[in-house]
Amino acid sequence: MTKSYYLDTSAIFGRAGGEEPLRRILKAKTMPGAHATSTQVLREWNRIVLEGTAAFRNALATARDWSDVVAKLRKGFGGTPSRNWQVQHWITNSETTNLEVAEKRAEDFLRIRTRMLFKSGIETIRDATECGVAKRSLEETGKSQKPWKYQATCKKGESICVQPAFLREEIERAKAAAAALESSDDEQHQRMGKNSAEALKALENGNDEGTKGSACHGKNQIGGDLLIALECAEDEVLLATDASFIHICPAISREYERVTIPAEP
Amino acid sequence: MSRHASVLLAMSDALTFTEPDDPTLDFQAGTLSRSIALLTEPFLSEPDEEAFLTDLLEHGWNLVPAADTQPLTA
Repeated sequence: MTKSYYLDTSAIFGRAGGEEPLRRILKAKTMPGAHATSTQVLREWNRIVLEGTAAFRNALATARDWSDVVAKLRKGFGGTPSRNWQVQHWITNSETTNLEVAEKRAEDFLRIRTRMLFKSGIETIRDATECGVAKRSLEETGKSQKPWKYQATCKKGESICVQPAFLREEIERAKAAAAALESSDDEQHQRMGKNSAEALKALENGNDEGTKGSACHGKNQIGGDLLIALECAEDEVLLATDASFIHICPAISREYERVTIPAEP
Repeated sequence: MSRHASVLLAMSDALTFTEPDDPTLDFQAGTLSRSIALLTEPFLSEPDEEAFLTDLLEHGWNLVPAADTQPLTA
């Protein structure tokens, strides 16, 4: 019988279109399935997939040929260009250089396919934080140079979630997870733990905005893996390819399974 | 793109992006035969289309290619 998994963003992404050996392992683990995930995972999925689709459609809107599309998708900081390229690859298999066909495929991808890729095998999407960002979709801007936008973030002052109230209810577990991350040997995990601990301290001191905005959605902040793990139920196994859960899950008494690509013989 | 065209594209992509040796692929489930029957319907609703894509995914078909691990070059 298939275990009851709680899928992190990395597992949903890998299952849909990660590297082939990883995809096969994740599919085998989750099929047939009635698994769970969170709107925080949906928020992260949308940030990659919808932001990537917006970037691709914006590149197509002004492109004269495929080389213009490639040049535009190469722009950006950090992991943005490679994420946007990956989404383009999902849409066109990096083969369709006919711009009209690419746009039709992007429309179809956005209309139905991205949603079905996310929710296949998922029975429950928990929403303890009532994240308003996770509900957003692509918007038309009316501008010819950049006709599409996706707002993947929120501001501290916006009242579009109940994340602070949720974290107050879970404060002891959240603090334990942050402390576990801080004790990691990995620098990024340490940073995530330190940032989370600071945000939680602000929350305990009565500052509801301490855990919101960039303190939630920013890189190595509380809204990533820590907030996701808190919604994993006791009888579930958190499934991910990310390593941070090695620290988080034991600290909050949750089981965790990390999937990685097997080393070649 | 009409829903018929979308279903046909999903079928074509599933066949392109799923290797026959994928151990999670349940070819015997008859998903592709059902999709051909679906295409003969004069009208496809959104739930019909969603059910078809779910059917494909739950029987191991891939709807997108595996990750592109090649460096991004023009």
